Amino acid sequence: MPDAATDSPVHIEELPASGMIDLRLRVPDGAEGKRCLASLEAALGVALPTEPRRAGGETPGDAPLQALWMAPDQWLLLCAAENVAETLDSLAQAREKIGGNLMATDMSSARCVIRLRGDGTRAVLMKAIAVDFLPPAFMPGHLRRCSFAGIAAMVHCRSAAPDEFDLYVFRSYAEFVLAWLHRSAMPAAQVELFRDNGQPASE
Amino acid sequence: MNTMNGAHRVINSAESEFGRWIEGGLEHGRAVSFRFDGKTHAALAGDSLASALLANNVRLLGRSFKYHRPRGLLAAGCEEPNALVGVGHGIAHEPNLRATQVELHDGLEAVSQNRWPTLRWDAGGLLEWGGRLFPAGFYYKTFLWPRSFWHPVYERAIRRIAGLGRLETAAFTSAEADAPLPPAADDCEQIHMHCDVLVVGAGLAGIAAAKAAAASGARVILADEAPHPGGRAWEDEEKVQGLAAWEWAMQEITALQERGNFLYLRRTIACGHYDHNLVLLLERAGEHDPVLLARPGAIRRRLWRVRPKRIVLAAGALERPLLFAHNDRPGVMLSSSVRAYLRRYGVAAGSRAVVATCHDDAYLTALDLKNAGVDVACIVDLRPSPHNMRLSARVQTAGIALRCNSALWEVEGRRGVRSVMVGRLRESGRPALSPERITCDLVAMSGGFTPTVHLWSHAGGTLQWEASRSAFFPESHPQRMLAAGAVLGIEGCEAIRASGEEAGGRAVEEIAGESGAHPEAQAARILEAPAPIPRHKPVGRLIPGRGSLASGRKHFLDFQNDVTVADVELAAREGYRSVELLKRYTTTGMATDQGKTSNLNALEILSDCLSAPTAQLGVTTFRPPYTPLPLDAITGMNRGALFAPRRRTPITSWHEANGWDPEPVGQWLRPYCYRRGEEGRRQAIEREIKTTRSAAGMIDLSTLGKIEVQGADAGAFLDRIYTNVMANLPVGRCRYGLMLNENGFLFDDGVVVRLAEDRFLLHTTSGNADTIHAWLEEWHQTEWFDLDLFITPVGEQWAQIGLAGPQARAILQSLESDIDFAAEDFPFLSMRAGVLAGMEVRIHRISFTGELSYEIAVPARCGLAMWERLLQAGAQHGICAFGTEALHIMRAEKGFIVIGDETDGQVTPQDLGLGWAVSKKKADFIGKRGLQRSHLASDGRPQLTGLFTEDENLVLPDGAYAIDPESKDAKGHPRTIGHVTSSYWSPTLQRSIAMALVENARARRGENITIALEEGPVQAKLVDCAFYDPKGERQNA
Repeated sequence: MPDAATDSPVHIEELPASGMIDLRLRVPDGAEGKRCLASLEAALGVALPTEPRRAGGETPGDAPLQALWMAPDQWLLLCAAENVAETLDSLAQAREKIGGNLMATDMSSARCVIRLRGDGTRAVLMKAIAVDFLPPAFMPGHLRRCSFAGIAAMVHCRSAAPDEFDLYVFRSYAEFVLAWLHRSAMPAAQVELFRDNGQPASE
Repeated sequence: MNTMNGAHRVINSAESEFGRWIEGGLEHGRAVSFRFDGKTHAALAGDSLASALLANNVRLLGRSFKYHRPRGLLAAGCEEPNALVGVGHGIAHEPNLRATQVELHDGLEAVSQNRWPTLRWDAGGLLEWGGRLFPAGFYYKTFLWPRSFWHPVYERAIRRIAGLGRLETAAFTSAEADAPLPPAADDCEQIHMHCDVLVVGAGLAGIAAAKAAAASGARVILADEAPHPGGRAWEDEEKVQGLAAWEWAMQEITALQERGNFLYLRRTIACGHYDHNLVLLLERAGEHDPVLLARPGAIRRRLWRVRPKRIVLAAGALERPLLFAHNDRPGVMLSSSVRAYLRRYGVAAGSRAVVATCHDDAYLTALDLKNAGVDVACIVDLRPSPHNMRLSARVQTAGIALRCNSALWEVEGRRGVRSVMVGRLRESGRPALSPERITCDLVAMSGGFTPTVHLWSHAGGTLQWEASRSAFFPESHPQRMLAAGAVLGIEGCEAIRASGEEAGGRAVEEIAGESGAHPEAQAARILEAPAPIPRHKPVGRLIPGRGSLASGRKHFLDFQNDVTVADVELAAREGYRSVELLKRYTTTGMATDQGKTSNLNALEILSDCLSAPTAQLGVTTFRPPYTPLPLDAITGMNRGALFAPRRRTPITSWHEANGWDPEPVGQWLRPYCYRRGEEGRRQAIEREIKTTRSAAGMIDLSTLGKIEVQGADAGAFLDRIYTNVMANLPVGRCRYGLMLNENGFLFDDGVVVRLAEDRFLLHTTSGNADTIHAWLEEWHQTEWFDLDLFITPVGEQWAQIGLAGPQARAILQSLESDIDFAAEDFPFLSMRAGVLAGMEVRIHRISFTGELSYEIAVPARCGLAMWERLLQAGAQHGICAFGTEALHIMRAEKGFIVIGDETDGQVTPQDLGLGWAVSKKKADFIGKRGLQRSHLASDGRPQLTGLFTEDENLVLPDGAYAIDPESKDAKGHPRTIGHVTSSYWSPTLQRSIAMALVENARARRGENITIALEEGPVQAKLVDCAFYDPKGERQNA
């Protein structure tokens, strides 16, 4: 597999290991649900996004803990590797307070995160994923669980112009995904898309 | 006066309106050269292969499919049925390309097809003399005797004679048949795209639609198959907004490309329209330009999967041929195509032309030819007069004879037009008795235009037959597609532009009007076409001429599949009254061009034969792709190393570096064995087993599925999933469990561990990990949603290492740990969590080898470190790594089953002697009712048994049948009573062992049975399948 030449429109980098916790909580409707969520958020010290396909937190990456929405009853908590045990402890305590079934699983080793940066990022993702990545459909703070060339994956947009996306894939697929990305990001495979990145589609 | 002979390049002045696609213009065009059938020709940059051949007066381009008739160019675009060529060498050779779509580059090599030994002297051409023997459906009627000849003789001969291009198979069958294909230098890729409006076709309507839509800020993609925008604007002489039509097109495209919300995809053909408004676009990204392709990583073709909110179909219309005798001779061309060669490439398709028409458009061709210095003998119009009377004045001023109410009814000349027969039409529609012979080398014919409704129809758009124009037009569409321009039958440049503008505007209005997140709910709309401009009363396109249609004078309908008017008439006589049946019987419209020029003509002939209105007959189904879609575009990037995902465990890199001999297990590659030095597979496996049984061995088990289930009802849930009781499993203990499907058949097994009061860990087989997760979620989400629990697959989080052998405990004890490994503190079937060699671990004392064995789970990122640490600690005990085959042999020595070996989807736990694992106390579990069905509960089912062959050295083949020689089945063959499920040479027992499913095996233990092998029957004794350490003393040590 040829390496992406240095003038590739996309910079591809596998991030070093960090902490990831799979968090499950079925939030009941109404006031009880609000109470559940509030006490969980209090225990973690961050807000849990309830809007589908959104990352929580104002400053992605800067906060010690960030929550990504995964499903109506599931979040992925991101933190430093050394903070995983501590976070799991506070979740165990929150569990007693909430009373319901809260499942927290250390998944720090399960996924690898590939950071893509540069103007060609969206086009490279579009070669493997059938999701609309063009702004405003996919903006900073947006994320999607999706199929990447037939593999379960998640994409999180960290910033736009300059574009920066994190691609989460299960560890065993990382090498395949990296090979795919390097191939499709080669300069000679660059695709021109709309130049209006960021403008609303229709007014 | 023109002195040229045949087709030639036209250069008449610097102001030339001809040759606008030639780079630098006709006079300054850059010369390039190319080869066709080995002969070198000169051409100009900007030519298509077709125009370049025509400019060199090469008019014979191929032989037809069935009769091997000499054929030349008919058209100038994607509808071309005749000029199919092969381009390129070896593995890069592409057959069946339309010469009209191949852009010429310096050094291009092309060959003609379907001829032997040469194009000019083709032996297959003899077939034509027997043409009367090959009417429609001849292969259904002939070759019936003798029956046995069909496959070995007739079919082979027919396949050899028929067919078009061939792949150069030599490139694919290299000396080593198994050698991988040589890598192509370039790739194809796919891309998913979303936009507001996709406009198909960059003619006047398409550009106007794109402009109107883009002006509102909508994201617009404009896709067109040609290298230049404009469509037929290049051949039109009308003005659009004060400019020549082609100038307007170029100017508007340039302006649009300034916009950030506009994307123009040239060389991009819309192949298909599918549900949910998905459109496939095939972009010839690099194939037209060897310079582009030479870049590393270049993309040859790109398949766009576009999901627009609205589609504007501005695909235009294709010209129809007229049906006269020998209308397929080289030199007979579609009139608008003749004009296209002139205007685009500056090529006159002949030196003396006759224009035959029933449509005004051909008059423009006559005038253009005249302007280019071609002698136009006459225009022969089937109608009493042209619709636009000014045209008749213009042609007469230009000195072109006009013969109305007349027909061209036969072409003379074999490898090219020599002359034509022209005569006045009689009242009956037949030509007059005294025809006139006119010498010419070019016939430009026009039977009017057929709207290109293919894409409209792919995903359910309905069509309406309009008798006044004898064509089908778009009617309504259940999805989100609008139509504009010539596809609606609109004629005239300005009207076409206006129609596009309206459709583009409407597309964005509709998008803006869509409220809510579910546009699918929108009802079907009736599309109202702007009022059509009536042109002329239709005149039949068939000019019967002399004699019967079935005589040698063929009137071709389908040029590519050699279907004639006579074939359709015969089919109608034989009772093929449905268009779909007619299509299959005569093969009209079934070639690679899918009848772009023939379908409507065939339909009209059938309608006439059956005296049924065409609207009633309907059309054959339009299916994607519009033009042939190369398989490599569908494959995209999924080839070579990227063919399919290949999963790696955290330890795979160690296996690779240490002599692994891999085998595929699902998407994983696992070490089958590790070979040292000159070792063969069998030696390596024997060494691994002996080392493990005598000292210790290690295996990478990270591929096993691992799923955690947590919640108050987790135990109850697992009790319903597994056949045995799980709810009473103590914390820290392990239990082997079986899963059945609803029918009671075993489909997965594995060890369940209770991690905490409300948390369990399930192990699944490697290949079934995802299936079992989905299975658990389905039962929880759809049937038992009241159970309070969560299911989390954790397979990727943990690396797992099997450590087995009598020294296993000593090895673990030599490492620093907070876990007590003493036998009494850490008994068989228990789990301990703690720290081992500084790494967080869960250690399960379970055994698949029959030895003292631990399975050590560590977070995946520590997997390799733990593997290497254990290997290091085990070195002094003589440890070795072992692969999947050693594991499988060791488990077989113990009589342990493997899902997929001992099970085949029809095996119950009782069949395998695992009845002890099926709870009799539980109220219910999946498969319980299935097990109670009489057939599963009855005697005489195959039961798992061990087999010892009489000859200790004979290893039975997997799947070999056990037979009962005493009882015969209905055919007198011995009855099958079972089969071998696993069979190995056991290095431990130093003899062959096998496991088998045999009827009533448990009751017959000790008896001999017969196994049928190809070499003859052999005897084997039914024995206990726990061949080794049946009491389990070693694993319990």
